[in-house]
Amino acid sequence: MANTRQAARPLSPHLQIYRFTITMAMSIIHRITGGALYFGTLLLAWWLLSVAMGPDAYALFQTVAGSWFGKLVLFGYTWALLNHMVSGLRYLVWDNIRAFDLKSADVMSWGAVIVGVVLTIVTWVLAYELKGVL
Amino acid sequence: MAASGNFVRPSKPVKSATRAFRRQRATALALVPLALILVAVIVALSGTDYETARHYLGNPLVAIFLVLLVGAGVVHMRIGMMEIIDDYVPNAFLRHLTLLANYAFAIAVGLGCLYAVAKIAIGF
Amino acid sequence: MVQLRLPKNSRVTEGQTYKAEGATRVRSFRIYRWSPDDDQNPRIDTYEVDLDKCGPMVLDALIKIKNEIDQTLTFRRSCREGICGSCAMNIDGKNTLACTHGIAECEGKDVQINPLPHMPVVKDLVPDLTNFYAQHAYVQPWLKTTTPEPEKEWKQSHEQREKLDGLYECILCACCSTSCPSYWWNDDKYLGPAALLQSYRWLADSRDEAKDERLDDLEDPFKLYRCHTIMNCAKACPKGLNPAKAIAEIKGLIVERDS
Repeated sequence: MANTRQAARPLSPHLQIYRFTITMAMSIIHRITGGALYFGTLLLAWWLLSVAMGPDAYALFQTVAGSWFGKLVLFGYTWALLNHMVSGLRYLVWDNIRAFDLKSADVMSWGAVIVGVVLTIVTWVLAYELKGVL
Repeated sequence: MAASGNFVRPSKPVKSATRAFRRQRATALALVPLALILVAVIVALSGTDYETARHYLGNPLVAIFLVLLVGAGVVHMRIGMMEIIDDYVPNAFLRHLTLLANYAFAIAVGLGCLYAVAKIAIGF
Repeated sequence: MVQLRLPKNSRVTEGQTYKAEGATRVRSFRIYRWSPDDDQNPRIDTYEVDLDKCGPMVLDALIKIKNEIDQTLTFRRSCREGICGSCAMNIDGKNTLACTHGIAECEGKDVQINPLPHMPVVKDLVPDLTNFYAQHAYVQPWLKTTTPEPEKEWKQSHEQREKLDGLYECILCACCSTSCPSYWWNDDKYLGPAALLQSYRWLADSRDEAKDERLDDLEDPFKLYRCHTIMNCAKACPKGLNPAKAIAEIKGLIVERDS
């Protein structure tokens, strides 16, 4: 290769320059929330196992989950779950060859953002309102 | 970068790719109601004492729901992570290794949850 | 792991500025430059253009710059009316044709012009499309039949012909494929929106008799299923086609066939 005069071709810029669109943003958010939920299943497993193991294990879970950090994680988990769910509905629609025009695609994607946030807030308001109902 | 442009025609179609695609959609559809119920159950049980939590989670209907949730969830998350790995891990060896780890993680989480659900419901 | 940053030799530096003296209505064009003849990294040169003495399209500005300011600026162009697909590039953060994109449509203060994204650069705004054409060849974009050829022609009803609308108009400019993040990360295994739209153009053709083989050739984890419906392709297509939809149609055909 020593004698080749031409320099190696550079790779043209991509993420660095491409203008984000809502469908592009929602796609990567869907992936990130999916990845978070993947590891978030460990929380679900911990919760179920703590109930199975007995009062001491459950008390430990409750202490952690009830701390400000635990609540923050749980809030994030709720949002990730609901956002991923609503965002995922778009793919079910698209897989049925519907709503492919650019306007519908954008409206659905913005709708998913909004509905995901609203459902998360409603969930937490209910959680606080219903405390001690059972 | 600068891919060679050598696109090899598969000797036979890889049907598992389509199976994964279909399963991902089927489990997604099932998980919509299941995830909503999960949120409802967590909201209802948040901050309750041990006896209450155990009582409600031991209800046969709740137990059946949890089994369905864990079953669909584990398949869905395994395929989802497989998609991420296929997208981002180009090295064949590393790809197979991470895919294996993905399987192991999904099975471990699934078994852990199912064990807990069974223990709560049947009480062994 | 996937490389999100540009390789060392591809990182872009700041280049020169060419002033437009005495002009009143000026717009700056910030253009990606790279030459194979020196060992420099790519750079962004800034050219001020007098809009009072320039046509309305981005291609007009590029030609004006090449003619009047800097003859070394290199780009592909031919028809200047959106039918040849030569002047595809990234303008203002979006892939499109320079000839059909108005300078006034560009939203930023300056007009940013880069080559089609995540491609090996031959020079300046000219990317190497070898791999893109190999993907096109892979889908065998021609009529394949087994029945003996009819004496006159292969007949098609009006309804059957209509199914090809929105598919046959592709001009192979590569705006769609190079707008797709999935294509960026896996362009050696994923066929990309342009080739898949062409594949569906033949799958949807009533006269074609090789549907099963065509679907076989697409059925593996990468060639088709790397599409995650990000929709960048449909948003970029200068002809208003919808590769994402065509890909969804193919997925549907394969699912139907396999069940």
